[in-house]
Amino acid sequence: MLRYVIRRIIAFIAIMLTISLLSFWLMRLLPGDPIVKHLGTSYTPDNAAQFAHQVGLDQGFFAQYFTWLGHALTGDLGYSWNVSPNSPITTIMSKTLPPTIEIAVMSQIIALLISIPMSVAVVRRPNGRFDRGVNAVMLSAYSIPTLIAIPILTLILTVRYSLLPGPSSWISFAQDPWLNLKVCLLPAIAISIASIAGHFRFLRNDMIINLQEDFVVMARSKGLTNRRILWRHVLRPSSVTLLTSVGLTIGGLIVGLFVAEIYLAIPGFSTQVIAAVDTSDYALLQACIMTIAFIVISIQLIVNFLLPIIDPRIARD
Amino acid sequence: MAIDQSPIVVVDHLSTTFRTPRGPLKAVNDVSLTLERGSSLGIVGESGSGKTVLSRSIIGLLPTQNVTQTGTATINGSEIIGTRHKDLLKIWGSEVAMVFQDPMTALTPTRRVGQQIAESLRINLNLSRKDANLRAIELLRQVGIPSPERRARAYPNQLSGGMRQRVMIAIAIACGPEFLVADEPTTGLDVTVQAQVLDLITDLRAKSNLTMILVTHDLGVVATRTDNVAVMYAGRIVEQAPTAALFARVAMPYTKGLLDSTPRIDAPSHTRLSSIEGRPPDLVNPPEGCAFAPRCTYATDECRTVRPELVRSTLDANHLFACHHPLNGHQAASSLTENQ
Repeated sequence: MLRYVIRRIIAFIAIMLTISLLSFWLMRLLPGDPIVKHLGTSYTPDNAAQFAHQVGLDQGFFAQYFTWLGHALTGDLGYSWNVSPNSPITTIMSKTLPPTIEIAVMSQIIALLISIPMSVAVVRRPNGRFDRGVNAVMLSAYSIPTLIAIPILTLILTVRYSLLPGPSSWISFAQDPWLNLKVCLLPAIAISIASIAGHFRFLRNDMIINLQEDFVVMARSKGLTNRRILWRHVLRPSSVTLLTSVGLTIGGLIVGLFVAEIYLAIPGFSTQVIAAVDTSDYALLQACIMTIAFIVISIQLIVNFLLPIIDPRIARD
Repeated sequence: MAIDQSPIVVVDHLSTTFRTPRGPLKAVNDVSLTLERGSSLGIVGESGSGKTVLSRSIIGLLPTQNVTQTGTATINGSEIIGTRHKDLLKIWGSEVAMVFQDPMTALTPTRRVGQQIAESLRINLNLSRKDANLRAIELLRQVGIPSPERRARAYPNQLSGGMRQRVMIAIAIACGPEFLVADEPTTGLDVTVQAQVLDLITDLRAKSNLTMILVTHDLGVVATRTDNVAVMYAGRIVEQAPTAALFARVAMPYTKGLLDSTPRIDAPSHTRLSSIEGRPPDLVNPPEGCAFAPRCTYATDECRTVRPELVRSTLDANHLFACHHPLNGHQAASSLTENQ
């Protein structure tokens, strides 16, 4: 167990370091000069040299990288260059990350709340009429891009029925919790559509396979109802697949979040990443990339850690 | 209260047909049998002979999709065939129970073994959670599991094969059933553990007058643990007799083939084990006449065209066989159907 944890932590550090070095290098290949973007109309060679010296751009690549790394390891991510000059990046993050995480978590809760009961309902009669109908709907849902889902949902939920606030009505949780949840709901639903369909397919197929197992016949011979067999004996072994699906969804989820935040003008993390790219704000962009990497890798780590707890047959190594 | 003398299980002209992509497959074909209270019946046959399907048909445990059944099967007088799932739930667990071949796959891998026993108690006997858990530990002790309090919290994969089979038996007997179907209960176990598990089943049966169907391909197990034997081939019973009578005087060439292919401890070493040539017939297109004829050394043209009925022997009215050329002096007395 200890060896397992140590191995995982070493892998985690190695991946983070690799990503940091690659992204540090790649973003310097992006078109756009951060000095020009920073100075704008007050650009003079003197000002430029002074700014370059101030942020370390006059040094070699590795000198810059190791200076950044040294600070980052002590929790100091530095100051934003261009998006909001001279604000500490940690402060910016603490403002922009919460809305995005809120929407992401909400979308996954919605996805699980719908896909799990749906899967349990259809596997009572695999390939029956209900199952085939739901499968068709799920496949259609899977093919709707978030880019299309958001305007359609806005038209229905905001314009037609006035149930939820529309674009540009962002309000933070601290200001008005109830309204904040309502604002988050529309993008959360839009992003959850693909997750629902994905989780459903994985879970349904795995439950159908598990229903062929002897332990289901055994459970039947004990006089358990079908309902109890599905929820207590089949869902948990099949949750291994479901959890893997949740882990795999993260990539698509991040793309969906970008689309949703831009479309609905939510001042979240994605909006900030785009601003950082736009203004060649290397310091902020680097911090954003490391944050995404940290979240994605952590989720995989948590998934790997949870799998043996869900199914004791799975070994940790 | 007078002891109930009526048979506990009565199966009459039971057939089970699966709908397959290749056409209907008659896995159980016109089977009739009775089990007296407290008796044990061994069902033997090769893989695919229909013994598992028959045993599950009798207790109604087959899936309903793509299965058609005709005939009747009653347990304690209540009909099983065609009965709604909801009504079968009342019988399963409390009146009939099952022990499966592979205790690794037959126990839910994600539930603690104690939970799996307690769950049956709570549902069938309405015990409280606490009582059910205590009773589950008691049952584990009863089936010979050391330190049952600790084992109750184990997952199936943390136990040895023999212990898992004991857990399965504990689940089966938890609610005091009268009828037990044991489907190859010892096949996956070491020989020494096999004997222990069979002894355990024998003890438990003696204590509660439990009726049992023991499905197996191991004639050695049948010889020592059953009162009667039914030999199945291609979905039919081809020979049925009290166990001692069957082993003393085999009537069917097929049964003889099975007996001859059992290794004998008194045979010289490196003796080639005899086997029955060929394979069981395809049940989607069963052969005309006797299903065993293509593999039988005694087969004549009559065997290949006329299917032999299950008949009583002139030597022993309890010895039934379905063969045109019975061995060991057996002769057909009368057709069973005429008799009834």
